[in-house]
Amino acid sequence: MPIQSERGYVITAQNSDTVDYVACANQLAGSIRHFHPDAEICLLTNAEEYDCDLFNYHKTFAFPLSDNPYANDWQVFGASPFRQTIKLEADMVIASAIDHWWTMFEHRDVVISTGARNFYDQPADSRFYRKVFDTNHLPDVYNAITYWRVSQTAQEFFRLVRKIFEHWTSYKTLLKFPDETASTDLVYAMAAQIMSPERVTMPFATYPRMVHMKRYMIPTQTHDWTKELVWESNPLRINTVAQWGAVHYHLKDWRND
Amino acid sequence: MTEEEFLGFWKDIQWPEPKPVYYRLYHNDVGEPLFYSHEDLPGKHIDITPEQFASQDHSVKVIDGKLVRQRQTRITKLIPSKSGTLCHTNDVTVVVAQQPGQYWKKKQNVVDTN
Repeated sequence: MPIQSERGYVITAQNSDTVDYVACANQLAGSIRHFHPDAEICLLTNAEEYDCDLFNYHKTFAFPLSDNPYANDWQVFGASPFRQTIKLEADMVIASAIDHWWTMFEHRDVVISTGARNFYDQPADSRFYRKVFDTNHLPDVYNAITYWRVSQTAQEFFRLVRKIFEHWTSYKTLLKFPDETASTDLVYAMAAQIMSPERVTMPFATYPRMVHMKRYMIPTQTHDWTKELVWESNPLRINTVAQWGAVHYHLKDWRND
Repeated sequence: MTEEEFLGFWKDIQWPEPKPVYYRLYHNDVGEPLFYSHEDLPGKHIDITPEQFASQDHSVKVIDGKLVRQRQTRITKLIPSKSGTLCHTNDVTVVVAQQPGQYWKKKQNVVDTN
């Protein structure tokens, strides 16, 4: 997609048999609009029909590597209509104003968020989901929030991401105890390590903040945190704790509880 | 019967192949137990130990091809409701005397903690 605007949010929503990610993307776009009514938001989806009222730009996107839905991630670089893009994963909501993110990001070419927090706004200590990262001394990146500006660094990064996805069988031999299938976070971490983490991450920055609601990060007794925690919307509070930044709710149908 | 015939019988006899003994738990698509059986039947199953078979435990679940004792817990949480305690519309921690407000009540969930 040609550059059509200076700054904006890109949400990718690749529907699967079980999850309607476009519905998640709508929810996310609505939460951004709540704080930033004038925000430019672009939806990239493989769905043929969808409600696109909340999006300034939208595109049905033919993700070519459909066998592994994660492997399509590198394509967002070329698909974004913005000169500066914040890519957000669809299964999140924004719980506070996030326009200050741009202030810090605009000095960088690429920023991948690092570290996750629990809903108490404390760093999530559990390394349960990050064993392969720790074993291989990879940066603790989360692709759920990724910023880039159109630049040589960003181009280099996404080329590398593409290369790793497409040659995963070779790249995974570089890792101890690698996953069979390439996950976006792991691929981003490898690309960041190859390019040097300080070029594409800001590990000591206080934002972007992401609350991750996975079981061992919160932690809860079960995978389904909605059975355990009380949540309120407008503003989003979980067990009476007000949430800030992005909340990765992890359970796609959490609002149906 | 002569001694020769007796020894010949033991020498020539073809013993039937012993039938394999199965210790199996048959389960449905989500890993919930259906029945334990020694028989080779169609359907999803896992092989288990004789001790597991003897226990005939139905409080189990098959997760990643392994038998896991199902542990459950009861969790009580508050949910929005049409009756219960009237709280502030945007804050469950503030109890209010009259509308506008949102009622909350307790709900108990029984959940697997595997």
